[in-house]
Amino acid sequence: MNKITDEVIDRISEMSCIELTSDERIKIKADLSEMVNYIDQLNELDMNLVNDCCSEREDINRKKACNVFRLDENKENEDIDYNNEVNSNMDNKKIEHNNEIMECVPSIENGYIVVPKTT
Amino acid sequence: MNIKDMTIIELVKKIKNREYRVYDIISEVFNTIEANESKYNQYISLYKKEAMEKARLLDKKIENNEKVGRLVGIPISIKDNICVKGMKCTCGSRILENFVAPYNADAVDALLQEDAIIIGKTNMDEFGMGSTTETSAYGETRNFYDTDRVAGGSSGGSAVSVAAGECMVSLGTDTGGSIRQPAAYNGLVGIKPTYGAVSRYGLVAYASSFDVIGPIANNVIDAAYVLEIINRHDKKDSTSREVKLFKDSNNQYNQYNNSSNNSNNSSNNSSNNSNNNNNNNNNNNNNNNGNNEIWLEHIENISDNNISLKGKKIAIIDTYIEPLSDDVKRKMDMMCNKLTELGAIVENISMDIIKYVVPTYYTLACAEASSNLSRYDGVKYGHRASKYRDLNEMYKQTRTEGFGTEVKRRIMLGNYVLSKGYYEEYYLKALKSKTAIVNKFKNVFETYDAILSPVTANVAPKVGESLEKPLRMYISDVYTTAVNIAGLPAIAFPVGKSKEGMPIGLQLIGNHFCEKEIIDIACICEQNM
Repeated sequence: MNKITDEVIDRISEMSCIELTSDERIKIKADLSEMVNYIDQLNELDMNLVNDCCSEREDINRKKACNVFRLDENKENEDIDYNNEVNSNMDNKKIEHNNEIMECVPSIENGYIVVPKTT
Repeated sequence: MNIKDMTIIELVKKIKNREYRVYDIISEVFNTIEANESKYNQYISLYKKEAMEKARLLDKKIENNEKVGRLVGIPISIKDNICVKGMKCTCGSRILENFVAPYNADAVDALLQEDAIIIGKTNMDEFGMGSTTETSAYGETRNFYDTDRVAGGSSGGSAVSVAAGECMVSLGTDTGGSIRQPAAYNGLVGIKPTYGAVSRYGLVAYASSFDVIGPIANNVIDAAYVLEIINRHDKKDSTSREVKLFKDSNNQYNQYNNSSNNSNNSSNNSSNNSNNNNNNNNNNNNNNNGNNEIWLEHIENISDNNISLKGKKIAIIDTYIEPLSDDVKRKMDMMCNKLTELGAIVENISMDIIKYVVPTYYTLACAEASSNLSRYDGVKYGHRASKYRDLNEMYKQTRTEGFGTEVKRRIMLGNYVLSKGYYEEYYLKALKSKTAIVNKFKNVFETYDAILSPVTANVAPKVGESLEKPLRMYISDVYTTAVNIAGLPAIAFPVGKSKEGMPIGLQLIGNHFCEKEIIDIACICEQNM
């Protein structure tokens, strides 16, 4: 049975935020059908023999994996004036790094990223 | 001066001894690049001014007898999905056409700290999705040995930049074979390290649980030398492991040191033994240079040491053999005979689960890619569409204009296998299949030291052949993707040429963090070719 119908193509192109031309739709529908049929081979495997899914090598990682982020706590940053005026005590490096990142942004106005409204 | 005629260690010695100037080496490199410019299309961007400036600075440092790094003056290229601060990082895609990286990848930092010189960013399949470097938005890269054929992918530009003598090593990435396959197609050595051995900080993500950074070089020693430098723990990557690959924690090199002691070198013996004793008592990962020097000296002199592979058990997966072309089969047979002559025990094993490797890989990789690539929306960086009515349309237009066909296909497949109603049927099953594959390899490595395998069934195909049938291209990844699924290390090395004169490569697959083991065997094979 062909699982990749036109409705499926519509749904997943919407999820992917990608618009397809009519030629692209035909080609991708054929390609995905072929691929999904190929992936269906996994049904041949006896999954009862596998009790769990290891996303990584658990026996190696169990003792070593650790959270490298700080605790998710609210912190008052004394260096920042929350009216968005940068305190002169702010680390110059942070400002420089922020500027470097903002150089990548397609459209900026007064330090804010400009995007169109949602409908 | 042809940099292909020397190892990195040899060239660094000559630079430090002032036999060569860094400025002359880098000038020669860019002369070669200019001469090759229209042939291969191996670069997306070049940085001649910055490279020449750094060369001048390094020459001054050497003149002033200042301390310089282990890669002083060595020209290196970087695949264009690895961030180098101030350089474009396009990932071979229009959606990042003008994106300039604001920071260095950790692996790049490691190289720069040793005074390497980055000459440019190399061409690649878009976002690493491809096996030919034909899906790049900046044109295909051609094979060094035959420009009617593909360079392989996705690190095709990296491979060709090394093969053409324009750099001594290139940093590539391997998610499903993208270091090993282009290395094999261009007669080079490529190492895919164990997952977690090299930081992924600064590597643009394709499939985060498979992506690794690794070196492509002209020979095993050069590739191993650079791997040792980029192998370090990095707190900024939570999957980075605190494992130094070349630390002699198990005194593995005593057997080699002892065999070299059979020659008349008792002074070396006593200094090696004292080093080994010190390292047994020292768990500090940073205090490693003495041990690394022992290991580097060992592999440099491997042919003089008359090392045999006596007792090494090497497996051949019989499922891999049947689809091979005659040329590749011949090379496999030759290598098996060579390994046996050198004392190894070579045995065929059955791994029926290999049949499920490619469906497992593409389900999981595309699922992860669909999530990773959702960040490309035109808001904070990269291409933004110019015509849209609202935010949602901006997202859609940006992605439609910015992504190529192969990327769109994989994103859609990934979203499909993760979507409601299909998640259990596809993604969950693939995760379980991955577990089964990992377990199978664990069993194999309880008995065997390494697995010898082809990298590809055939030599590099002609340009345009692979893109006609995407599924056929995916299936050809059967030799390489199993390694990524299991997170294992592998080294691809050249074993000769086909009747048409095209390079053929084989690979050795090792257990987790056993890079030393497979590098040693590859070194011995290389010396005995």
